[in-house]
Amino acid sequence: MDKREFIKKVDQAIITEEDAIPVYSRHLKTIIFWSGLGEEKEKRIKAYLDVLINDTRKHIRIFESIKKFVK
Amino acid sequence: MKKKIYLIFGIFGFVALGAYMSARFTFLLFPGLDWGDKILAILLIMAEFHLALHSLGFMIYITRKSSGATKKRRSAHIDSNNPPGVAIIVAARHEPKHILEETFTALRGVDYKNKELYLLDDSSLKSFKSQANQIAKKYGVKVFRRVKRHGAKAGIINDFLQQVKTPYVAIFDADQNPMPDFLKRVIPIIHGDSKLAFIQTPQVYTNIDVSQIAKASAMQQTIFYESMCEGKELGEAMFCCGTNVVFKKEALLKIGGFEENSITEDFATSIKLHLEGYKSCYYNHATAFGMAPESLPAYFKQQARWAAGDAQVLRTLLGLWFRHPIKTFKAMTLFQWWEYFLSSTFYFVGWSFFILMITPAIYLIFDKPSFFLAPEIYLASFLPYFGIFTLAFYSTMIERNYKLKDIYRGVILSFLTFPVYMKATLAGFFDRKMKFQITQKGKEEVFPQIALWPYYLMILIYIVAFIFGILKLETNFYAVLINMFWILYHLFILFHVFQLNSNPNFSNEWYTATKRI
Repeated sequence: MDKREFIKKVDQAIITEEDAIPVYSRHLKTIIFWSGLGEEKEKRIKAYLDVLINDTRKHIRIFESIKKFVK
Repeated sequence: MKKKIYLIFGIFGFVALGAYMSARFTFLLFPGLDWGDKILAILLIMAEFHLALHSLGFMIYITRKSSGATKKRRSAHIDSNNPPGVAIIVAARHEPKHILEETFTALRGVDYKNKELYLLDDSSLKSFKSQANQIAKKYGVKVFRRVKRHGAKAGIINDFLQQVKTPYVAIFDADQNPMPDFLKRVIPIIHGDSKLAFIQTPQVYTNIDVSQIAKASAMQQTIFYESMCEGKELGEAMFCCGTNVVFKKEALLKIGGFEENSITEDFATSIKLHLEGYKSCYYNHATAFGMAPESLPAYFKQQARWAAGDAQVLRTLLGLWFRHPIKTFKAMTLFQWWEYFLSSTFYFVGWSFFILMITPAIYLIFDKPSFFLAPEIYLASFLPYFGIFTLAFYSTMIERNYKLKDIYRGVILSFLTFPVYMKATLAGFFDRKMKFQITQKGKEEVFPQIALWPYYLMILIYIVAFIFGILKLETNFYAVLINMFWILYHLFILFHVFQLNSNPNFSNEWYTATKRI
């Protein structure tokens, strides 16, 4: 693996963070509706998923810093 | 306890249905009817009989399921370092970029070592072709294009099958997002049985808060996948629903690929596979999530395609029965035939709804009766049948945690689709050309008022009939009253169309959640 390949991998990780977490979270947020867990639990799970989405922002920033550092 | 309740529902349901239909048929044979009366009466009883058969089908599903019946499937051991190859394909034509991007994000995330991702790009516009190339580059996807167009989605998949090397092909619509464990769950099952041609998994719509149509449509899908398909699985009669499905390539090639002459190629191909002795499996676990039609025009387009396609298949099946009755009968089990009968006749429900709606109005306006039960016999035989089936249906749904108002919305929407079903089943059955229409997502779309003319016409007829009813109330009190009740009931349903014909809410979190962060 050379520097270019490494940056490519980081880019892929950024895509995954940027796209995948919101996609999965969005579906999960909705399917709670079908689960019959009750409003209280629904709210809490949605809040957890929001934490995940917010963490994604941090992860992307870290990946961007790694890229800058390598370049 | 629950098992017992459903068993009681089942037994009483069968008895009540039998009693009601016997009463209806017996009184129909009464002498002294003129031809006008007879035609109307026969049409009405056919409509009721059609609905009764489908209700019976539903009752059989829940009774069998509640009796604890399950289908045992053998799973093969799969070496996780070297599993059988799977080509994951998305056939797309002029799909919005962001929808394809989300799908390939999810597909890329599918945890499976020997997977290959393909975008079967059928776009004719240059901008969409270049968009497909961009997506391919970004997500590491191979683009497949065909040289000569034939047979819509089925055609491009068939061309693709000729060159793909993997033994399995997983098919997804452009808006379906599988979870990472999708292939790890289904491949061991299909790999464990050489006669198993495909595994279908449910479609779960998650854009339900975008519009009332999306929610109602999602509810309908849920009823289909969680109750009916489970029943079909027990009878080895599950058909392919076109997406979230894995096929054995060898089985598809053996029957000559997907059926290209049908607009519901998935359903038509399933029959070919079953007739050839292959099996199918329904894996009832939510492993992929997607988008429901969001507007009334989009929903009607989707339903028209399904209705016409299923009617086309009915025509094909009748042709087979007519030409080779014994050979055709022997090709599938009785239960499979029953299931295919239900599936291929379901969308004729539009005609049944229309007949049920128009006959009370004809009675009130023209004094033409089509129903010959004395009011007390009608109430004594109809109410138990209607009550038990309605109760069984709603309690099954509520047991699965669905809210009454959501189930109700799904049922209303199905009823309101009657003009679409009528037109599409006619076109399909008589093989009239219907354009293959893709249900567009993420697009603002409402019907202009003029396009809702069938509803305005029905409402007008009902208002006139209701006035006639008031004037005739003294002549035959109970019969007129019952017909006036049905008029009000149907009017109530019809008015929902104006509420449902509204634009989706694209500022909903479902859309904003995936915007770049």
